Amino acid sequence: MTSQLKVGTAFMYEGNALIVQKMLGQRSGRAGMVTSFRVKNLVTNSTMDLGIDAGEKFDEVDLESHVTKLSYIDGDTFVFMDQDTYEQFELAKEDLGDYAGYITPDDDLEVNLTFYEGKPVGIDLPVRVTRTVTYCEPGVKGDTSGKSLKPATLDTGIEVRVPLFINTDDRIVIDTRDGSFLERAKN
Amino acid sequence: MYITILCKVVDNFGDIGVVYRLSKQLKKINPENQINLVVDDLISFNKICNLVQCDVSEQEVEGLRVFNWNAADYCHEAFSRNDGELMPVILECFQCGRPDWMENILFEEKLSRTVHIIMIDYLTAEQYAEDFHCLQSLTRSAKVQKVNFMPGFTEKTGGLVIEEEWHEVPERKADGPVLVFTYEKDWRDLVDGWLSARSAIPPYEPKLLVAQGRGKESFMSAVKACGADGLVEELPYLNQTEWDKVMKSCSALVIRGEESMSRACLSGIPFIWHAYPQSDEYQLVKVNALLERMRRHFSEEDFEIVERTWLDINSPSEPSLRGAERRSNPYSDFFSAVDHLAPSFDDFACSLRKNGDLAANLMTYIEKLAII
Repeated sequence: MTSQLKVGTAFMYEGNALIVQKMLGQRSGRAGMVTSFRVKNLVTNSTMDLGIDAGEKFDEVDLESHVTKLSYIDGDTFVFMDQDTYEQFELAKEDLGDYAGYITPDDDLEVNLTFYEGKPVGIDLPVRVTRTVTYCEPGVKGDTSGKSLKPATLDTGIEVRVPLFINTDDRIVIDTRDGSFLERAKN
Repeated sequence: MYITILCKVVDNFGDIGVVYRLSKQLKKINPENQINLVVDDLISFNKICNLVQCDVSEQEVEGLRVFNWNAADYCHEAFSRNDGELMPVILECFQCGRPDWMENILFEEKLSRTVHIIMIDYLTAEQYAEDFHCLQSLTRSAKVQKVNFMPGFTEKTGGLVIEEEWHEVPERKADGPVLVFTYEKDWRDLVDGWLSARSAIPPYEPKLLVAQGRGKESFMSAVKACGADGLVEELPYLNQTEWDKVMKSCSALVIRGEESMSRACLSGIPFIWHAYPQSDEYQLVKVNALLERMRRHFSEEDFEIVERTWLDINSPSEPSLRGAERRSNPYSDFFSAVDHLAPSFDDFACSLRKNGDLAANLMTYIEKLAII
């Protein structure tokens, strides 16, 4: 079902495997969510932007996966190392889609690298990742509703929206499916 | 040209109201078009179009072919005939999905022709209407193409359905009644506000017309509590044509949903919009988005009157949840100012006509796709 699609999910379309690279936007209606994605055709490597509503059904592609860690980043190339064989795999930043903003080589985070027909095509991250806020406007005490948001830069360099009570150096938990703030990390 | 339109009635007449309006307009634009309307609730449809029979699988109504979504065998036979002749173009309205019998034809039995599904979404003033307008979608078959088509308030959307009788902003009846068509809420503030405005501007003595539907009972309770019984007339169920006429005869409107809101926007009549209540008060996002589209047509002071009223009606009933203390009854301020506000609403209504008619824009789009 479309409602289960997220970054890194692959699905079949007319004999070709497509992988979701990036979530571009969402709209909610009374009948459910419509999400716009950037998808990449794993056969032709072409990308397209699509707005797909929750009711459409697709067959998911089972991708092979290896446990790796991010070794280093060279420009727009992310280099991962298999934790069993020490083999290295390269992926372009665009192949990681939104996930590129949630990992750094400084993490000791295990990352599932996914393969289609022997070729690395993306990564699979947990829904929740914890990151550090490197800059945001000072927090506002007393506002714990979470309804008003402000921009915050994370240690990976990306910007997310956080509640007003968050401060620089706070550790926060982010939902990797859409980049939304979940909670302040429990130390 | 065959165009098949799918509509599932959710919990009121809004969805079928929009679809019926759009269907008639598509037929009017080109009488050669055969419009097949597939509806899952003919009883609701009958309320707004009295000619609709509730117990038949297929019927002709005002030049439209109306099919009962639930008559699976009958519809399967009709729509699979001649390689799906009836459905080269399917308008899937408001994410209603497709009936199982249609899914079978499209994806199991398969047709040799390509079918184009156009997803018509709910009307919204939010930015995403522009972002998603004409954005390609996907189904599990390349023979079934799908695209998003967004009604809206800007030239980068499909616009609103504007039939001939809505081409001009109607002349507002300053001494006309106030139409009330809402969801459930504690309405005492609104009734009190209207009463105080009414008594402050003699000889302006309009009455309230209260429409049938979900919010009627709660509104009538407030009328009783405020002692306004003699000033209120309860309307019977009206068909769409009668409803439009009543709207145009009013001096102000308090309306709900999206179908009536779209007419209110085109009417140039001062109106308060009660949006469909959603979880996490998401309706306020929609309300604020529409207010932002309207802002430039109002002076700062006038806009504040409208904004306060709209935010109040769409916020929780409990005063403790409303946040800031109210300086005065916003409804009293609104109803006192309706004559003064009318030119700004009129200006907004005129601006919407520049975006064109949704049905005409849709037909142009279909022609561009070379479907016809």
